[in-house]
Amino acid sequence: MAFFFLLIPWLTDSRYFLHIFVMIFFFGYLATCWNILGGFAGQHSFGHAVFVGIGAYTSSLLFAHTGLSPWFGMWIGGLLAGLVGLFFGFLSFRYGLKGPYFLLVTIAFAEVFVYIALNVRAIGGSSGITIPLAGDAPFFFQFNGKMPYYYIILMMLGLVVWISYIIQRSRMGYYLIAIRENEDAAQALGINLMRHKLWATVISAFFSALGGTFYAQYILFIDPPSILGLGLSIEIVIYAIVGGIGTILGPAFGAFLLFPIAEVTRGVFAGQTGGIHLMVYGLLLVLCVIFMPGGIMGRLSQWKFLREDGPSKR
Amino acid sequence: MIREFNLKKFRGIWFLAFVLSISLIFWNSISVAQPKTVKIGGLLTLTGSLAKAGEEIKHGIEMAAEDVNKAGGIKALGGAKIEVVFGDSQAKPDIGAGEAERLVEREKVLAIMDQYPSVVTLAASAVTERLKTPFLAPISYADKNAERGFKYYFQQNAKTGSKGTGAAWYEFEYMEYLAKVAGKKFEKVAIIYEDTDYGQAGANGLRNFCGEKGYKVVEDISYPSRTPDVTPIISKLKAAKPDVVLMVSYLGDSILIMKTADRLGFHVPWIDNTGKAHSSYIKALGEIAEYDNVLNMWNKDLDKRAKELNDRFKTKYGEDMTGHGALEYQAIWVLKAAFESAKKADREALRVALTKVEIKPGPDMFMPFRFIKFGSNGVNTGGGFILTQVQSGDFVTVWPEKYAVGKVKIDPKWWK
Amino acid sequence: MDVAALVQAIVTGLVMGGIYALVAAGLTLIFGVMRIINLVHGEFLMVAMYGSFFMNSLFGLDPYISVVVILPLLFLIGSGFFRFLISPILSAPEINQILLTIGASIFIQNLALLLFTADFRTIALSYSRIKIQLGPGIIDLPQLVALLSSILLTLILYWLLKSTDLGRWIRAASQNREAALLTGIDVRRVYLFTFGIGTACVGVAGSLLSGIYYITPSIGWLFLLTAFVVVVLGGMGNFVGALLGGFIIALTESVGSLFMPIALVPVLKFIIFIILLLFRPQGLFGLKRL
Repeated sequence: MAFFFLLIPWLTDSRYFLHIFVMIFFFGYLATCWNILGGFAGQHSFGHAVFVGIGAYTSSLLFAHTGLSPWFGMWIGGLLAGLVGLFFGFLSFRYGLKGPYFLLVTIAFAEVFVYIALNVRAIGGSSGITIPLAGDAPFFFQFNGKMPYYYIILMMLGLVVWISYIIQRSRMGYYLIAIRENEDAAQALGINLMRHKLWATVISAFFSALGGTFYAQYILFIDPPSILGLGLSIEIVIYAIVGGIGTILGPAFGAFLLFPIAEVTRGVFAGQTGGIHLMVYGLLLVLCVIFMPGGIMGRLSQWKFLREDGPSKR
Repeated sequence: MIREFNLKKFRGIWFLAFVLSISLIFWNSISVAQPKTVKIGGLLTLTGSLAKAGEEIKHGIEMAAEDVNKAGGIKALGGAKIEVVFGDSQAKPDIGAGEAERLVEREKVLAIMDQYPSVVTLAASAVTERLKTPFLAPISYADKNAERGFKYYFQQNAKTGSKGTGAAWYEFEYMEYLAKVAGKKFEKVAIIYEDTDYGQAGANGLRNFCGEKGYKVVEDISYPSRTPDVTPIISKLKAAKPDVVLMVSYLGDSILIMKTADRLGFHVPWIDNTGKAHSSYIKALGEIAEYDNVLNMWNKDLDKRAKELNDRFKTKYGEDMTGHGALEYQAIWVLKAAFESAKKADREALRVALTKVEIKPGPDMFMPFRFIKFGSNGVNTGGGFILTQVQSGDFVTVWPEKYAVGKVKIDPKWWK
Repeated sequence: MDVAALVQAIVTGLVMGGIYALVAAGLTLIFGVMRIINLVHGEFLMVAMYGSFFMNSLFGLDPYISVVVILPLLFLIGSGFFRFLISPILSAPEINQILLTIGASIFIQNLALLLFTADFRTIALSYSRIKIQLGPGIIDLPQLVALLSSILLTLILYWLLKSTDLGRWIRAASQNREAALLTGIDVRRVYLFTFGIGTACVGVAGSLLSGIYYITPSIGWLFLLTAFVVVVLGGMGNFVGALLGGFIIALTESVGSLFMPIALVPVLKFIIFIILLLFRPQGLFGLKRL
């Protein structure tokens, strides 16, 4: 079945259509990264866009100023994001931030980044960064057609899904779930809370940053609100939860369901008096929460012919 | 002991994904082809904090399309009518880019016109450049847009910081004119601006011009545009005692700023870029708005045609047409002229026609421009701005003298 | 340093603090009692402002009078929202509840966009320009009224919580839900009232702010994040704390603006927020760890 996705670019020559898929995979990718920290470890970050943005900015700045190919720059971005995650995670976990407090501190943290980025002209300020156009330049992570982007992000998605799977069935995954369900009990059992939470944070941050580079190379333009802002952070969380927080495929599925719906409703309603398409979206979110508390995966796992492995609810 | 990851168990999920993908493919191949119409895409911000502007611009475009169609459509294409299909960028560059793709591919528009913010213009025009579709930016005048060497990008206004043609230039020139009229020498200037691209680019231009002519910039304040309290800005201005304040702001912050200035008893001439150019500004501030100087691209009192245009607009939509609406209105006529010369409903022909089109004051020119002709970088250097002053609760065009309908009034409270 | 500017900054800080506290009052109640991060709170503020606007434009009612209508209206809206949307998912993971409020927020904001358009509305009051001079510091009448109302509201809420039965039940339910149930308190009903009262509070805020700010569907978000900072600063569920917290944040912002680039001032409150959350999440005035 997975082969089907590999074939899609050959079934259509619609750029728009491929764009939709690229974006679905992209958001699915980010949601899956988030899920490592938010779903497995149960630490709900509402500031994950920071990591995405660090990746995007690092690779883009390096490319724009030194000509370093984003293929290399992205690892540096990932490393940087991992360090930031380490720092910020250490602080938060050291002082015992949990649940809503952790959530709030991640928002504050991200907003600080946004304001700083807006005001530091050296990294573009509010004008953001326009990634230098290189045309069709595979070595510089730029392509004219959509197909290369499609396959790259599909591979990246596959990678983080696989990583999620590995984590989940590893001892670390086991510990993370224990931490998520009951931190005190986990600690009593001798599980090193800090170490595992930090690992989850760093891994999540690192891969989120790689996604940021992808975005920068795809859209060719980044600015603080779009790549560091609360809007993106919330969007990521929405996909993960609607899809099924804590599951392996859930987050990607959330993107698969919600993104096209948002696109289609915008296409149908945008022309009329504004706001209808977002009303539909908001309503959909509300309905999802009420009728699908475990997300899509939670709902699907109730059907007999398939069962999700691993926890489908918090 | 650890759970098994068995692909077979996920049959259902793959099935779902398959169904979704197939339906997307089929949905995608349904396209509507309308004979005898020429489709143009309008990429606006129809939701979010800029929704108001988007709505007005939508009306401007709709009325323009109606007017063109009523006047016989595009004669070179057998009277083909202009049909505008709208997209909502939600003021976000990635959504703007996606909408551009959708408009070009699904809706098969022959060209896209947009609105702002400039980040959306940047992202969306990058898409249209790759898709070889003409992109006309009727409003955007931020610096970066035209510096990319694009062939399909056309901009109706000059960069804000361009000497002689940009918005910042007009704002600055008016300041010198005002000084002359008031018979007062301006030495100290304050520049305040909101912190997005619009504000920063405008402020850069103003700063440059002030520096060149030797004005002392006593306060240079960038502020976050969504802020609930602007008192610190006014406090600083009060302390610095400038002769005039040059601002680059949006409507919401302008309202708060002017209210606060009145509250704190700070009275000097304010010259704003285009943020206040809206009837709801006057409605919100009432008396306080009197004597305010606001840059605009167009005003309903410019000439008989402008008045007639506005009357019709007002009857239809219940409020005055804005300068931005007028720019978009004009842009439709630019496209019409281009189609007439292209003689083909084809993107490449349209692009070539746009590089050659030249509109001078006449039946196709509604703006106070010298001309519309896109240079080699796609920028029209014949654009221009006017300055309106709020007098007796309405915007009156007072400058340049060529277009002035009324005289600049000096507020007796200034500099006291 | 300019003394006049400093005095102005302090005076403005007090007024803005009062305004923040007005918005935060309802939020601290909801967050404090139910631990729900209520992201739809800002939209309710917007609804109240629109309500106030229409009371004024259709019936000529002064917002200070129409608040009598707005308050119960928002109470009903809040209770209804709780009853039909939150109550069913009360036992769901917190993150789901937050997601629901996000979805509701998007829905309500765009519903307002559809119904009212994005037009900036303002209420012009005959007395909005009356200025009050406090030394070199100037504020105007609506601002002063907002500040005084904020203090009044805080006192009323404090009394409510301290001295009424409902207040005791609320406090019990917020301290220990199971224990409260055991003592026979209908916790769900208490929550209903809490949400209703919290929303009614923001209704009052909306009425008072409608004469000061412009009204547009997205106006709620101007205050929401700051309100959360104030809530945590003052200690969840602590009204007096929220008032003082509001003052602290607002004064930090307005006095801070005198010494640093205004564009960076918003960062201050977030830094305060982070420090608070790390080192003293119960706020300056809250009780020990919850």
